[in-house]
Amino acid sequence: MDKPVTKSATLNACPVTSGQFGSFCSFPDKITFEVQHADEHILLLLRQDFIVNTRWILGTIVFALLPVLLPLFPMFYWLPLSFRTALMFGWYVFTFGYALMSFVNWYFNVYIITDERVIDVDFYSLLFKRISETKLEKVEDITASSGGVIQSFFDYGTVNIQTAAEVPEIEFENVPRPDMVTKIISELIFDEGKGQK
Amino acid sequence: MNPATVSKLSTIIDPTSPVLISAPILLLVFKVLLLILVGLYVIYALVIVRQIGLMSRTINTTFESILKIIGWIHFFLSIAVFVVILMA
Repeated sequence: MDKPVTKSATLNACPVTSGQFGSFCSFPDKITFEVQHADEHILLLLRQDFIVNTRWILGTIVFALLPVLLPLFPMFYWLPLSFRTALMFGWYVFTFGYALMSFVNWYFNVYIITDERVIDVDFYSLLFKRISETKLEKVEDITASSGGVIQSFFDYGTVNIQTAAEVPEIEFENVPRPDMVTKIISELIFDEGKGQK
Repeated sequence: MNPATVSKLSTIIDPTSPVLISAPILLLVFKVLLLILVGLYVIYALVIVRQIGLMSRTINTTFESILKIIGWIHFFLSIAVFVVILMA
């Protein structure tokens, strides 16, 4: 795919990516979204930094290893073998379900910057979804913040975008390279502003 | 206590056991509780499948078909757990 034309020098320096598993995907060529306009191009697709997945990955490993501790609970061996087998099978299916749901939540919670808009797609638990968007020309203020040892070390943080639209603020939570994201949005707004004049 | 009542109680209460309630009854209660729990989990697994479908409609990627298959595998595994517990 050819890169869409953008006047953001920072973004132009970024390569075309597939956008499949990355947290910082510039010009993702294999991704589209539901409310995308026909002539709209995705310039940047962001997910939460991969490091935020550490918690559920470690949780899954611990859950998978917990049956090793079963000899410490002799009560378990009072159960008939068929019950023990069923319980172990069930335990591993629950663990698999936990890992699947955690991954799906990370994978589909995305932040999109197109040549027209900034879009925040949030899925809360299993049943709620919220899509917030604002046009680039309605962006008023952008703040990047990161704090703490882990965020500083892995260079991720939160980008708050104040808007003049109905949605007063869009929050990109735990995204990688928040400074660069801020710079890209600023350059795009400047570009958009020049286009309006 | 008449002999009929004693006979009925003896199927539930085991006087030789220190916990009085016989193991088969305990196992039956345990099994019913597990079946209720896993039954709810099967519904949850179906909701996950549905949710992956809705999410992938919102964001279209080439990986969504694999995720849908994984979701269905998880759903069928949860049904298998239900059946295994039922047969236990």
